Amino acid sequence: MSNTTAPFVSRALPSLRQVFRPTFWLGGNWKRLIESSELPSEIKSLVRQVVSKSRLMRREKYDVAEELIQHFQDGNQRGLSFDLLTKNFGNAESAALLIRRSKIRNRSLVVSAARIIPPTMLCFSIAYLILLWEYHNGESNPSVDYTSELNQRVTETEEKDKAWPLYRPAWLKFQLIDGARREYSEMRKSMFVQDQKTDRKRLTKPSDDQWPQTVSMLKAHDELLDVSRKGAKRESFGLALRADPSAYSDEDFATLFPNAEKTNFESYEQEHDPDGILEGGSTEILLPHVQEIRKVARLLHLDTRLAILEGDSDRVVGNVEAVLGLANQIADTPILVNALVAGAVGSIGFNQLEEVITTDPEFLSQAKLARLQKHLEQLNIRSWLDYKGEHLLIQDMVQRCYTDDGNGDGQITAAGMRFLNSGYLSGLDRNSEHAFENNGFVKFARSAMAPTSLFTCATRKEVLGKADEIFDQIAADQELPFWESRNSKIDGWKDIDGYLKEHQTEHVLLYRVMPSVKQVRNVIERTCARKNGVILALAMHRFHARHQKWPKSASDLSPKYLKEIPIDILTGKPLHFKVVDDQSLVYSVGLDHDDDGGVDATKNRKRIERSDIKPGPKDAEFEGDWILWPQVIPGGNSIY
Amino acid sequence: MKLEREMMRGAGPTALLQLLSNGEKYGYEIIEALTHQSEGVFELGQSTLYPMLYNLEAKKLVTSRKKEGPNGRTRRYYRLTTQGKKKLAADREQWAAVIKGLGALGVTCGLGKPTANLPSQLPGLALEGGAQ
Repeated sequence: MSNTTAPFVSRALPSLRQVFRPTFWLGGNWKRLIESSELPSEIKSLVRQVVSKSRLMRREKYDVAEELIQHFQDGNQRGLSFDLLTKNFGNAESAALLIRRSKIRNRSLVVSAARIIPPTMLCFSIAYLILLWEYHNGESNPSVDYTSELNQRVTETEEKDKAWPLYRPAWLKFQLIDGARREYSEMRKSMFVQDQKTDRKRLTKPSDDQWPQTVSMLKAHDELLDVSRKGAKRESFGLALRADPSAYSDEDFATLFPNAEKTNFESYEQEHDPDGILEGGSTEILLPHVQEIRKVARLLHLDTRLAILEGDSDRVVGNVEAVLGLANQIADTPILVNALVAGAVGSIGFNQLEEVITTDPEFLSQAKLARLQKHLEQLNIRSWLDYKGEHLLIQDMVQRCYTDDGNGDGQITAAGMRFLNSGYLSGLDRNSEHAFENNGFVKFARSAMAPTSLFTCATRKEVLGKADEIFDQIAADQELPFWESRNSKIDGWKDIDGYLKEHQTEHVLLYRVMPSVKQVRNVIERTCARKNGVILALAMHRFHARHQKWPKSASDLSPKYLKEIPIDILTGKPLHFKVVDDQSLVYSVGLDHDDDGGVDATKNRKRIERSDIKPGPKDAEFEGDWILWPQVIPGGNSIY
Repeated sequence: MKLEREMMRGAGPTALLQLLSNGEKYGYEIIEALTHQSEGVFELGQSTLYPMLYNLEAKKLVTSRKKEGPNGRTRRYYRLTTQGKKKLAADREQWAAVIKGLGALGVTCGLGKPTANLPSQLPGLALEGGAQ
């Protein structure tokens, strides 16, 4: 035992002994003591009054009563009358108060703690049990069908404008969604080849040994390609999504989920959602068709290569337009992942066009170039970026994780909290999450602390209000052109991600579910920049086809070939163009905002490839320009 | 003349410690001794004595025990602790300095030279204090 603790222990031990004595808690009967004293009734009454009003512990009261009885007995023995003793004693209430204060000061720490802790613990235990009951009895009551709201655009589209009725029979016939592991797909084997230089997979080219198999595959899928070209002209993809796959029609189900049975459909989310929080909700919607649209776009790209060999320029134009149409159709349902895939499919269209023109500038006639340019000008890429779906998904999550008091407010439920902390939404490694959960103590501590989330978590109304505020802010920021835009600010925070990270306990749902706004917008802006570059290049080629020379200035192109020179999304100023080795070159001045004469810089390009485009002030660190046309990037990630 | 409450609050505990320095005493015995030895200056409201004793006990300056008296009755006796003795010694010095200072200022004429028996050095002052 150390020297520092010894005095404390020696002081505390007698008190501890006191606490464990029955008389500490029970004390003597002070009332009986007063009654049994041989004092006159007035004095007994005075002593009783003082002791009673002191509101001390029983044992302390007994001691005080004993001492006061002795006091009056001693005074009387000295020959003083009880009247005089009463007078000399003073006011009973003041005496009681002073005695109380001094006696309390006299209590040891252990005695004070023994006096305070049990009732405090009892209060806490009762409060905790009430909290526990409240927490575990809270049940969500999902009442709004957000999936219907998500499908609103599709359901309001006329049947004749929907492409799905055209696509579905062909997709089913050719088993586009093969329902098997992708690497075993026969179609995929014919589409891709391992590039010897980059050691990456890319689409096959006529120079590849594998090209004959590709041609056979394309011929075999001629009907699918034809349907895709026709369907892509329609306004909408036209598939109303279902949270419950068995709610699809038999034809739709067979096309979207081959090898699965309606009656025995097991969602992969069940493992993470044992409480069935997501069951029937919009967050459970599967998008099996989205990646397949990308597959169709690649097939069309391959078919464009074949069409060039066959000299079929109409088919080339049809394929490019079809890919861009497919990109437009993916964004049919306003979910951000759809916007990202639409951007990727759109890029496949731009790549095709670039490949056709750079391979053989004469292949497409002036009229066809003009037609494609017009098609691109009408393509509203920014409309793909619609946060409505994410907003609806969050509202749906709220109604599934929160109780509903009937007035739009409520508390987070135990099941809701379990789901939000399951790691499913946070992207945590499943194994590590399980290892963490399997730690018995941590599991117990988390469970024990969970009811406090009723205090720490924002209420239903607060979460919905904050979500509205965030999406309003995003919408307002989206209105700004990219070169003027800044990160969306919330409550003085420089960006939403930072705000939610700081408030992750309060807004745990938003923290887990809110997508990274900045990154999605960057992908879409990069696609817009690419589109602008392709439009300018098409105008240059139209000028060249007509005049047999390249345009020298903007006035050569605008207004005859272009209403105006497309803008550079990084500066808001017109894009730059020039001719190098009799080849058209279109470029943005890049992150440093300096015109380096169309010199590409790897550092610059790699950052842009990651969609890490920084709007606003120039970033002098990144020298070089951003080449928008031609954009064949050796060693890049593109697999076309 | 009665001693004002604030005066009593400062001097009372020292007076008690001084009384107990002569040996252990019970409650009423202390009251008597205070009144007589201080010639009425420390005649306090009797109910005030016990809180004062309890406070000194809380500060570990005095300690108490139950003991059978000469007449066969059991009473609670108070006596000084070692800490209480040290405190009394310190208080004596403090009061000597106060009286010396007040004497030098002419507040207490002729009392500039304090002795150890402080309470008896303040004759003629009636006490006011206690729980009145």
